[in-house]
Amino acid sequence: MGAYLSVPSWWRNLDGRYRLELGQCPDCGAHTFPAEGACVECNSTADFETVEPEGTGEVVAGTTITGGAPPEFADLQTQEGSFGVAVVELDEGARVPGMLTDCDPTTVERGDRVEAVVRRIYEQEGIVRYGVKFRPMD
Amino acid sequence: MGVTDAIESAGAYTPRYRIDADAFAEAWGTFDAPGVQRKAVPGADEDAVTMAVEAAKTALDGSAHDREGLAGLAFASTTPPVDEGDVAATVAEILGLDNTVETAAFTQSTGAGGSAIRWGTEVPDGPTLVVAADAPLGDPDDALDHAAGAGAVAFLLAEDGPVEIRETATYTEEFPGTRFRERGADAVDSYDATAYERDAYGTVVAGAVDALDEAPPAIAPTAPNGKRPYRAARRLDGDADVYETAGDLGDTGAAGPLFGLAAAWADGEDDVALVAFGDGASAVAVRVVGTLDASWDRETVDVSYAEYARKRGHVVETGGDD
Ligand SMILES: [Zn+2]
Repeated sequence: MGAYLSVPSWWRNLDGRYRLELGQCPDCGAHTFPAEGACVECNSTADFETVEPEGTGEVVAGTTITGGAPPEFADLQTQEGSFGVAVVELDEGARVPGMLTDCDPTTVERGDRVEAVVRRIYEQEGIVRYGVKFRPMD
Repeated sequence: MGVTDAIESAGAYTPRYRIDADAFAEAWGTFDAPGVQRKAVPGADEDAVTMAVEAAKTALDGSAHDREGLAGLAFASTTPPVDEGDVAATVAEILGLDNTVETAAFTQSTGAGGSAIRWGTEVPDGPTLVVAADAPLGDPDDALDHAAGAGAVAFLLAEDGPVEIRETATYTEEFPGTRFRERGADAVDSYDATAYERDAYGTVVAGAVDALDEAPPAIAPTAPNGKRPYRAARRLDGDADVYETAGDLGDTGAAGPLFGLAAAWADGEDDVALVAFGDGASAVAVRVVGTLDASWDRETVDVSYAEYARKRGHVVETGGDD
């Protein structure tokens, strides 16, 4: 969140933004998100195998943003009030940061089950940036 | 008919939020959407694209085809996020469809879902997702906004499936000044002559249904509110049952007739004419035989009028409770 990201840079990782594509390490089998750089488990720099996760996981950390969000989230804050951000451990093992949606963020706790959904993250320069958020599972 | 004239699977999606007609009337002073008891309200981070994706994923989950095998994707909405730009490509990319997929966006008409189905059966050379998603918006004091709901329905068209698309028919006649949206505007508008609008709707819906070879026992027309479809049905020969979801979900625009069809299936109907009507005006009637399941059950949360107005981006002072 927060840092300006050009559209071409955004576009480079659409598979990650839209479907949380993970990199699976050929050496140890661990999953890394985003699918670039070194393995989060064993630091191997061997080429990842890209895999698509189910999109379900568990909240491992979270916080509620009640004010002072970066300007691109100002409209969201006006319209929806406070919103949650969390780190989610996917069932495949990778940890992914993301915003929470369709919930009162103050009721979401560590260990809650969530699923990935694609929402409008923000709009900038007339361009809607879509991406994954996490929604508590019924 | 084309190569993919069966519906193999379906998916439907509605947002989490609801507002009751009573809550709306209490805060705003009046509620001018006939026959709407309750309606769906999209979250601020939802739009036609995100709702389309939800419905499409459910339809894909119910299909024997995997996403790489899809030949086409049709997207229908009166509220695409941009006036120009292939919004269907965004939906295809989010779904992870193959780059060889053929896409088309149908917009500018609440009848767009019917045109998308027609395209889906005729044009792509293989299984095709047809998804209608909408969240109409009007001025806060306008009946069109009071009726405005939100939701999406997707059908996966294939060579074989439990529902057969048996026949289509169309009717077109100009009725200027019925529902329209000016270039560059967000809010839908109309000249506001109720009898004239009803006549336009009734003439064109009945015109398309009457043009079918066989009178259907049930119809699922575009539903701008929860009353107009029933009034129009009286103009039809025979005694067709009417299905609409505007009473529960509000006006779901281009998705409306597809929701109506899903409601007809849920009620056990297996011979239904979906009638996609668009003001202006034209209609496509699609007679389908068979049934599928397309439920949009989910946990919902009621919002106040103030919350509703904020989520929809209306700048209004209500003085109501929050
Ligand atoms: Zn590793």
